Amino acid sequence: MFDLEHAVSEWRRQWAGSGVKASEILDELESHLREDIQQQMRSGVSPQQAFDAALQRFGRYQALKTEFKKVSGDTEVLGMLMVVICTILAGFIVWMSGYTFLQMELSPSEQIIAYAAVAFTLLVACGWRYAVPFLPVIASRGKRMGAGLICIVSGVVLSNLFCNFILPHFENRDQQLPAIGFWAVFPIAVFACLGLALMMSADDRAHWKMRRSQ
Amino acid sequence: MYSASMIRKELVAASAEPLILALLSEGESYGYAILQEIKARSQGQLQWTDGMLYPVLHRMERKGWIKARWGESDTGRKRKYYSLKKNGQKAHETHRDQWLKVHSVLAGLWKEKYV
Repeated sequence: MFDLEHAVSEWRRQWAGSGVKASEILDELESHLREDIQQQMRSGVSPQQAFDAALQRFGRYQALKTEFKKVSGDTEVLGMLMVVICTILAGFIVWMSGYTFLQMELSPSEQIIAYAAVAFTLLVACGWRYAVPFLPVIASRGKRMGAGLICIVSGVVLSNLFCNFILPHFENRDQQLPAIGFWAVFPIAVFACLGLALMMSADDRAHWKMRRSQ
Repeated sequence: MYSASMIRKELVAASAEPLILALLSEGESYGYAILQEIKARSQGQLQWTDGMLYPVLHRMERKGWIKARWGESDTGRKRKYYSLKKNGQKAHETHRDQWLKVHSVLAGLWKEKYV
């Protein structure tokens, strides 16, 4: 006995296995296949015949995979370039901070505070994209840019306030300077990432695969 | 890329974007309906391999010509709807002018030759 649901699930599994992995694309292709099958069944065709005919019309996955790859090619190159740049920058920051902290002969507690500043800053810089889907999409371009810029400027202002009003109260500042310096960068990293995320339109998010769940 | 027994596949491929733009300029639609509409309007002479419509739609979305949203069909299943953006309207007008020019040149040449 032909089981249409099982056949469609199997078809989807094969397409996912063949390289068309994005669930959103698979959802759309499956939706098309089901429309075609339903349309045929309404005119009296059996489920198996409708499924076979729909498959025939749909085309081969290899050709479709190649076409989808052409569409996403530019984004993949740009994405890889961003990963390379981020890796180099992160490596540079880790090496610089590690070397500096080592030279300063910090106490264990000072080392923990200093390395925590580096770790949190890197965490924000590398992980901000995962927070993007939880942020609201501002429809107006002007308001989006305004909100983003306000966030970025706020980060710089907060950092300056920290350096000008809180930093002078630290004792033994020379020894603590590297750790304090990295903590001063932390608000800039947080607010800059938040600003960039708020500047993204729904299209930008889709382009970078940061779409809100449907 | 496309299977077309009546019209050459290069021509089918070249006309894909202008056809989709023209259809979407009449209102929001989804993949399956777009294909059915094109088949009906061409009396079945312009046939695409169904799956191949989607990379074209995604490319047009990437170009900023169209936008997509998920909705529901009458049966409650998920369905992705496409509509034209402002840039898409401009692209539609550009395509239309260019195809009309080609059509007018060809029509003129054929008229001279056969009339």
